[in-house]
Amino acid sequence: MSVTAHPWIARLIRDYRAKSPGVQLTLEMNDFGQLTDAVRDHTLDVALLRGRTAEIPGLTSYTVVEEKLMAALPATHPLAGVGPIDLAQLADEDFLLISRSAGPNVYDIIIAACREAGFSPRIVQEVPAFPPLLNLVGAGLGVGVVPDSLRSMGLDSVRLLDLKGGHDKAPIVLVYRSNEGATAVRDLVAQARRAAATP
Amino acid sequence: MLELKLLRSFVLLAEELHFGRAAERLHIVQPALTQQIQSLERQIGTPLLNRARGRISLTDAGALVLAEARKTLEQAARTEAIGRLAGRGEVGKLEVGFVGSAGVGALMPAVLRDFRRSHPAVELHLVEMAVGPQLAAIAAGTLDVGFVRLPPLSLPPGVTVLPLRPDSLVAALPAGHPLAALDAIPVAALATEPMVLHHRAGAAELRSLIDDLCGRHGFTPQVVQSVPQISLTVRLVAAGLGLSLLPGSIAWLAVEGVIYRPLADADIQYTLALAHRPQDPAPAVRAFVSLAGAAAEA
Repeated sequence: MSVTAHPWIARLIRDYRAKSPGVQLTLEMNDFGQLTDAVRDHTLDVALLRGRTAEIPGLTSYTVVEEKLMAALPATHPLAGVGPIDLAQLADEDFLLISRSAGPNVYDIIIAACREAGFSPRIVQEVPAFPPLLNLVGAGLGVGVVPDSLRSMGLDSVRLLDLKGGHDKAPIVLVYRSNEGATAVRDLVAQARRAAATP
Repeated sequence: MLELKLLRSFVLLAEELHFGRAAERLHIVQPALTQQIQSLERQIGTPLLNRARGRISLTDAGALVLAEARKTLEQAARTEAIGRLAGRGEVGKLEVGFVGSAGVGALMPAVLRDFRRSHPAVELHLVEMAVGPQLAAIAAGTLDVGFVRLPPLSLPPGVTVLPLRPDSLVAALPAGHPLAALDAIPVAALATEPMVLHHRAGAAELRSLIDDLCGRHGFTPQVVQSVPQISLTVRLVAAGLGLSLLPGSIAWLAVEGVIYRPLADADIQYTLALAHRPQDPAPAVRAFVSLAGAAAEA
């Protein structure tokens, strides 16, 4: 659910449709755990997830987008005008965080980054997806840490700032069955892996 | 079980270490206090006070009981305060549903911000859901309030909708699309365009509005892709997969590559509303509904 705002996903769908116009793509949105279960159970053919998964027998995970995490601040925030900031500068802020069920991996990455910066974030609200999360940051409910692609939402009320160090990533990962036999699915996987190489 | 009254008397006596002064602070007579302390020592089964040469001091057991008694009294006070706050709707949890377009619109964040400020101890649990499932969940009591769109296909008994802000459908086009040169898009021009629309399952109301609109203009939309979430719809339009019809309130999200235009010959109302149970006695729910109404008028 946390990946839908990324332009890469839209381009993948567009290009696959152009190459395989006879294949109907059915798109579904669900929580992290339910998506991996659905691929394993053949309810879905592939899933795009935010963050790496633990090894799941029978499934292959492939990182298609490596994305850095940014600090999201209301445009009116005193720090909003400055350049890159230390996460520690947000230690006393109210935090909006992606719901753990929607993005357990990225949730953990953000919490770990805060811990490493020497604080435990005061979470005032969990939000099930990044676009509404960013929108709530803009309304002044708190600050957030979001993937870089949210930048293109173009919200005037929000500023995205680089985090010093900048080593915290929230990759988008493609998950598919390792022994997939269907050509249509294998084509999609191959195309996604090729597109991954050209950011 | 020890009575809180006895613990309170003991704590005051331990502070004063003087029966007369402690009794005075408790507004009771000294023999009554003596009786209470004896009763406490009897129930615990050990002396809490040394009473040597008219001076009193705490025994080791008394000192330990004092520390625990203070915690017990604090917890009792907390219990009382939380109950009182909950009665006023100032603590607890609220289940809040929203349709995707409300999540990226301007009003919902303002309502959530105002509610957070007035009810900081109430936890808000946000769930993104389509209109129909939200109304069903509110009727079933698993959701308290929901940001939905009007008109709903049906309204379950016991659920009401408070219209918040009028909104209408606009066309979303890839930048550079020939139709983007027009100030407003005639509905008939969409007949030959590939469309990226919401899942019928996820947004039955929106799809039926669009199907009706196109039907009135004599065509069925050519849906090249159904999409479960509004952010992805906007992205697919930006990627050039097709056109879409979206609520005008999200046009302020200036996603690069997407142009929004009003429809030239149709005004399809898609009002943002708050669904709730009008009979809900929970003060937090009532406060949320009235804040939403106030924010809508602001």
